[in-house]
Amino acid sequence: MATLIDSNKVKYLCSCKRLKPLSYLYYCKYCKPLTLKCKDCVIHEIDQKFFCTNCLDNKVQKEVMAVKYKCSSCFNCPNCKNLLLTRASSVKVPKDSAASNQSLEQQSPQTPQQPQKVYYLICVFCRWTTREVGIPDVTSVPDGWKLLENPFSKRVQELTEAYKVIAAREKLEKDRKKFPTLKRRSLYISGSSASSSILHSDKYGILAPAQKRLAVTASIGNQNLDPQITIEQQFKSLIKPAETVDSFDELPEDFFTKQSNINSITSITQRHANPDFQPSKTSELYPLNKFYQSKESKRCSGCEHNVLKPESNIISIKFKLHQMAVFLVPEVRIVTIPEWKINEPNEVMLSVTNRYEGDVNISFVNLADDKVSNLSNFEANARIEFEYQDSVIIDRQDNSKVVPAQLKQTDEQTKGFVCFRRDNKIAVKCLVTPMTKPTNKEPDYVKCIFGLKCSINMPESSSPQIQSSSSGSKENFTNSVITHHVFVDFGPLKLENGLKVVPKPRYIDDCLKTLVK
Amino acid sequence: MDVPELLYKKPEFIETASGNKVSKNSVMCGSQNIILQGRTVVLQDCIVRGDLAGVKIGRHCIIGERVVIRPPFKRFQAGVAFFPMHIGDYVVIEDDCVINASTIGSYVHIGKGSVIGRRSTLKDCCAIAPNSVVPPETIVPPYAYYSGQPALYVNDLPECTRELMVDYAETFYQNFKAV
Amino acid sequence: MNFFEPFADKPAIVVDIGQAYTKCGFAGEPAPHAIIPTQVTLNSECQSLFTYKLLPHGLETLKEMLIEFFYNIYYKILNANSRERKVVIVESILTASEFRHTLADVLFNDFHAISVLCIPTHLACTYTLGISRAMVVDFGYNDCQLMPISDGYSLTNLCSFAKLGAQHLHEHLKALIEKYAMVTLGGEKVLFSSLSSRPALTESVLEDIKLKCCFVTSFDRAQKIYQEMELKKTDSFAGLEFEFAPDCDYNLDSLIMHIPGQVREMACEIFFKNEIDPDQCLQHLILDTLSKAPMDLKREFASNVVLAGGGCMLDGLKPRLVKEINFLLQKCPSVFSAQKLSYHKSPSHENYTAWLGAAIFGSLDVLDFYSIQNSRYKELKKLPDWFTIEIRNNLVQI
Repeated sequence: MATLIDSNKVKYLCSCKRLKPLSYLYYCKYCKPLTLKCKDCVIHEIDQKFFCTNCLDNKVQKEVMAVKYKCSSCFNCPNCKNLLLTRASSVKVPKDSAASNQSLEQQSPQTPQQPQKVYYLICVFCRWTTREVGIPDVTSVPDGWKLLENPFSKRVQELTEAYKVIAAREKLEKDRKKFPTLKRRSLYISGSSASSSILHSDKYGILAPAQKRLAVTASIGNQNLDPQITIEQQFKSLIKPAETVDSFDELPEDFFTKQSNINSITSITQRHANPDFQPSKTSELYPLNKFYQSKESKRCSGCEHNVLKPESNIISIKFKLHQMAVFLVPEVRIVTIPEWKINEPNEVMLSVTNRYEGDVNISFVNLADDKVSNLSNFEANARIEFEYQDSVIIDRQDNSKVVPAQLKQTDEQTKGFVCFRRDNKIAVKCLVTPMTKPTNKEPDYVKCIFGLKCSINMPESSSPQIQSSSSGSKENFTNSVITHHVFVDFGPLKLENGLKVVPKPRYIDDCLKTLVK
Repeated sequence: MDVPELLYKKPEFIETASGNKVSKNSVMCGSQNIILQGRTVVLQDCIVRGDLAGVKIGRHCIIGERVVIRPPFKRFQAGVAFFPMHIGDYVVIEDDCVINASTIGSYVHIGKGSVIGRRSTLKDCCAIAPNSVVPPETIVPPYAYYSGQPALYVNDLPECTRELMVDYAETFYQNFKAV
Repeated sequence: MNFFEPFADKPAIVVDIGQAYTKCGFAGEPAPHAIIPTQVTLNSECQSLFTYKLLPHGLETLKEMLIEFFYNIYYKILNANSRERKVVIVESILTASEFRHTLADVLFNDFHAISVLCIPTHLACTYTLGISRAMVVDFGYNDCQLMPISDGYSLTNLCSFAKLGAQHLHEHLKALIEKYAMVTLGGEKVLFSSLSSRPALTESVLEDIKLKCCFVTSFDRAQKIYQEMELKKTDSFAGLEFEFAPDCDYNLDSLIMHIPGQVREMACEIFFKNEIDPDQCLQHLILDTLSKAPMDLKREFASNVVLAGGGCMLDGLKPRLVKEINFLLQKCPSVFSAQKLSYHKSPSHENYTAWLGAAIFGSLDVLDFYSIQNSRYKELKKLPDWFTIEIRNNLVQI
């Protein structure tokens, strides 16, 4: 809904001194005082379950790493990156298995034919098909279009294995330097003649992975302890050396005379989409596998408690833990913008919505400009004034309460400051004065900063909840008062040609009649 | 900017018992197959083709002006068959869209002028940018923001999208007043 | 190194941040997982990571960009938890210090990487071949860097570079298009530059034109062209009798641009012939470095030349370069007694050779000895440079 309402106008200050719209902030209730966290200062964690967004096939991390994060049944078009669909067509195939092995010419017209379904891939957007590139139609979909192996993978594997041997030897030599005496070294290396090695007695099973690794290293290392053979010689014995060439293949002669067809050459993004092959001609394009994705959970960087945790069910959009700032901090939005007059107070209406589960007392506070605007690169150039400095109550969302806020705090009390109130939303009037810069130039934008002091009743959450034996025990509520810094960007001073000023809404509630003029 | 108020002339809209507000010059073909669950707003000049197949629209939806909602079809050897269409709750469809999707989840926002291809599935809490074309049979995952022609993944929506969409749709309905 | 550290079976992340494209993937793989442009979308604007120098509050903006960039790499492309992975970064030895320090700050403090290793590009290329001595030429976007490697050490006193990268090719191509390209307007062919409102020739458009239309012409053809130009005493190649390659049509927005054959063939000539400074060309770069090399290593370098980087994937660049070098060697035999150099072919496409070398190194056990651990970074508070004492100490100490 950041898409519905331009939420880049009103930003709040996060604990890491960044400005973000309220819908992108989280809060951590375990940090004292209560802090807001944004995407950049929270720790992200990938869930263990991976799924393909198309076929919802789910896998655990180890399985996904084995298939290189690629779904074997869902493909993207190499031409336009859109989804590829499987289409079936019928092909006549001889019934007899012996006859089917013969070529088409050898088969006589009388051999009985049976229709067989064959499948090919087609992109619905750009109409690219696997038939265009010459990939034969497949007869069974699950086996389908296999992942092509990188032509260099074998050589890379050989190189890696050879380097691993050398690295193991180097590591052993370094470890040897670390433990100069034989006794210590024998404790370190397992499987050797040392009888009372610590590693033999693995009572609690914690040393199993370390033992496994050392066994591999030691077995390789033991072979290489002959100092006569240098590392380089050993490496050369393990692997065929890289071959050199004296010249490269020249471009074919007809390259300079033939008309080139631009449409047969791939673009750079099409090449990068398939890093293993990077086809330079469109006739070499191959369907791209879709990648597995997983949900993210977020953790506060200060206290390591979880801030956001999605449900384990892939399809569900709900969250097990949903500590988002919109549920705690009242959200300020701009309702009307006037036609700006510089150095004069202009009337602006802001709305404040409370999505907390209880009532909130808010009051608007002017902040010391220099200190706050230096916190981030936000140049405030307008002064904002609020007529009413005391606190205003905003109801909670659930209207089942007996005493509506209208009775609690009448408009006479707020002296007309609160011009609209419904459920959990209020609208307030304030005066904004855009000021000229010291150089007497007209400002381009109108921006201002103010503080929103909120007082809410929060349950005590620092200690774990102890189930008391007596029934009807209440949670301890503490009243916490926090001042949030709100940065408002009203937009350009003068709208461009053609853009009209946003019309004021015509609220018809009685208490607003004074505004509509 | 907060949700603006929208006033309408009472004779131009029909208000049903369950609170649906449907414009009189929108065309509802086959209205016995169209189900509006309640408190849904359908603005002027919309076309909803209930005569082809059943269309089920959830609560608190907002269908903008000149939107075409047409159930998707599938070609068979025998002919063409139309599939029923489901739209979830709190869905906001802006002006000038063409919707052929088979399923639209809840809390979805579709921008102005976009075309949703046939038999595509938009899961809950996703959004489509204005003027984008979602190709046929695409599946848009939750919390994804798709944009472009063809619509491709751009970035994620905030995790509180559900609450914000509920807020927007309900406020819009409350601000949609008869004069 | 803690003896009881659990066996980390998760492969390290290998990232090669180039000036134009970034290659990222896992250690032990034969190819990167993805090749993405080095761009970041901040405040709804998509800009290159390296434009931070032009923006106000440059370093702070760079930090924000790097955080966004690496968030994208870790969680959207590679699906890896940043706290559980070691990182291998491939960087040029000539990277600005402020960039390195900001990068280390972001990786250690914001993403809590276990350890970071910065491996020089040219050294990484040698790991793909299993050789210890080589002369590595990296054709990048900004420039072309040349560095000899010997026994795991980069010989930085012999390092040289030339402003002959893809960026300069694009600029030259743009100038040629403005001068010679034609557009069909109302049935008539007019010069592209004469149009009042013409579509902008952005970097991505120029790159596309370069890929689809341009190529490096062969040595023999180039010689004939230059001979004719000298005979006619002209600087431009318009109006020559030589039969250039056929023209081609390129679709730009709604216009069809006719790119003449001369532009197609001669755009890449800036790599091999420079009017202003005859020594600023690729073949001179390579042979100059070879001539300055110490006597005992000259032969080794000459027989182990590695061509890496995206620039050498241009059609026809490699055979032309070989022929030009051989021609120069014949002209001045004092450089090197043999008649030719020997070139290696790495088991990868050239644009990710350095990445592959780092991926091979990243899968080895000794990675921990060479990387900076998180705890050590917190003590040092900055990433040691290749010329500082700390990195030497780190190699010996454990």
